[in-house]
Amino acid sequence: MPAPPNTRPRVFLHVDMNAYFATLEQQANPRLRNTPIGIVGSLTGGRSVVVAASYEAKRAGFENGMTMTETKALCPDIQFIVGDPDKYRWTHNTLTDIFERVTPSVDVFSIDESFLDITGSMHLFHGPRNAAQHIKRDIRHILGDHVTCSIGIAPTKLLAKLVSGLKKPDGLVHITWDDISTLFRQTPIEALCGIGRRLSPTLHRLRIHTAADLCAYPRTELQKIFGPRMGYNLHRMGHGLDPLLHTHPSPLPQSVSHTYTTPHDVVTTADAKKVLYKLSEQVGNRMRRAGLTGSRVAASFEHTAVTTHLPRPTNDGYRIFRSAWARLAITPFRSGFRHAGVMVSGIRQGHGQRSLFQSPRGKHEEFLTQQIGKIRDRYGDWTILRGLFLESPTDRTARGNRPHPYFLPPVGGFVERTARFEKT
Amino acid sequence: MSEIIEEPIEVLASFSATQVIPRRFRWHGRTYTVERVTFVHTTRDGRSKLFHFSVTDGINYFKLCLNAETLTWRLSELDAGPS
Repeated sequence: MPAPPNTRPRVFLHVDMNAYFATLEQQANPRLRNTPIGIVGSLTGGRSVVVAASYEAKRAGFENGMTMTETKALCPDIQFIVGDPDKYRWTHNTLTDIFERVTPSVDVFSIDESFLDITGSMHLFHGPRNAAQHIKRDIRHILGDHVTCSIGIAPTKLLAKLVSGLKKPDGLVHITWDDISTLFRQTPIEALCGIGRRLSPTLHRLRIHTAADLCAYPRTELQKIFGPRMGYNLHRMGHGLDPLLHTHPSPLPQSVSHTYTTPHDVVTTADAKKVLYKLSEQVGNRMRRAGLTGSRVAASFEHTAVTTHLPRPTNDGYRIFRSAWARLAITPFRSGFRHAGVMVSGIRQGHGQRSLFQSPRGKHEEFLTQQIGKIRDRYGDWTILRGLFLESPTDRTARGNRPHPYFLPPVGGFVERTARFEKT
Repeated sequence: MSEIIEEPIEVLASFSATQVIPRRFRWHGRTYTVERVTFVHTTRDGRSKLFHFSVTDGINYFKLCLNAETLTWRLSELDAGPS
């Protein structure tokens, strides 16, 4: 396929860390290497989802989304490891530093994938393959020999991501426009980033089964069926081009949220309040550190979801909790849930405008919130908590004096919609 | 399988120009020699910076934690090999 007209020649790398979470655990603990391991949020509860697995487990048939019970049935030798989000986040930041030494144009796609535009910097490394090898060497040197990545090199991000998946682990695949025709004939349409479960059935009905089929489909027909914007982007993707993004993206995130899947069914109101409070405080802490407030709170317990508007924007976790609980408490929710979430939207910069008519109680609460924030900044997020998180000495002794499971942070619990927060 | 320990330990470490390397540590009266540091990462607890060293003595896996604020060490995790 010739290069599209009016396109400036560019070179992108897509770096995809191989079995990221599992590989890091195997790097840290050599006893786990060459054995099947699965990363979970908690070791209790066979219904817990295995969030990631090593290549040894994948070769045994593990697929994303499987529960511990399903995985164990497929791979009886598998060892389950509780995930370490702090380790994964630290490594992610370290990887970004490595990438930024190759080019300042780093687009973080997820915790284990990034795009690098090396158009303007690859000459410093004598070509794109050398730049990619440089990244691999740095990763091995800084993180360890067991940590590998697959890198795709291509003229667009879409193509770079496509080809990075062709060789795993520790792959390096470089394509040019001349290679696209042959590649697209063998590429299932679902393999293109951005075409998932919602789009693919419609595309199949149109007899678009491969990327080459999409390339051949008239643009005007795609726009008639999918709308002018989506149709145009599909046309671009069929030609190996990146879809057009929205212009003027907002510098602020659309929302800040946390979700959690508990290791056991939550059956009591007291426990439901604890889970909601913890999630609310996590959201509030994140927003406070980022200097953000929000005016809409959405909370959910499995199949029950509520939304409420706050009279004043806030980043106070306790206010978020109280407003969410006030709605949830009067909405019948099914007890025995395991999945809960809290999201704050209507995000704005700053710590909110004080009301002229604030009561003495309101001023006191605001002062208390500020002091709690200072204590947490100094000593840690869970240094000071509300009384509703307390439990009897008998309950704690029954758990062998270990922290309540609801104190443990969820694996990968923080969800950010648009902006990337500063490194922690 | 790793076991959570979270107990204070005594550590002998070397300080080079760029890094801290734990060399030996004592736990429950027994001295362990670090054969290799396999991974190091940092976290924060409030203002305190914590350094987490994943190490092995050739048989067992240990996770040691140095609190840079208090300059204290603790044994966070242990995955004991065959005895």
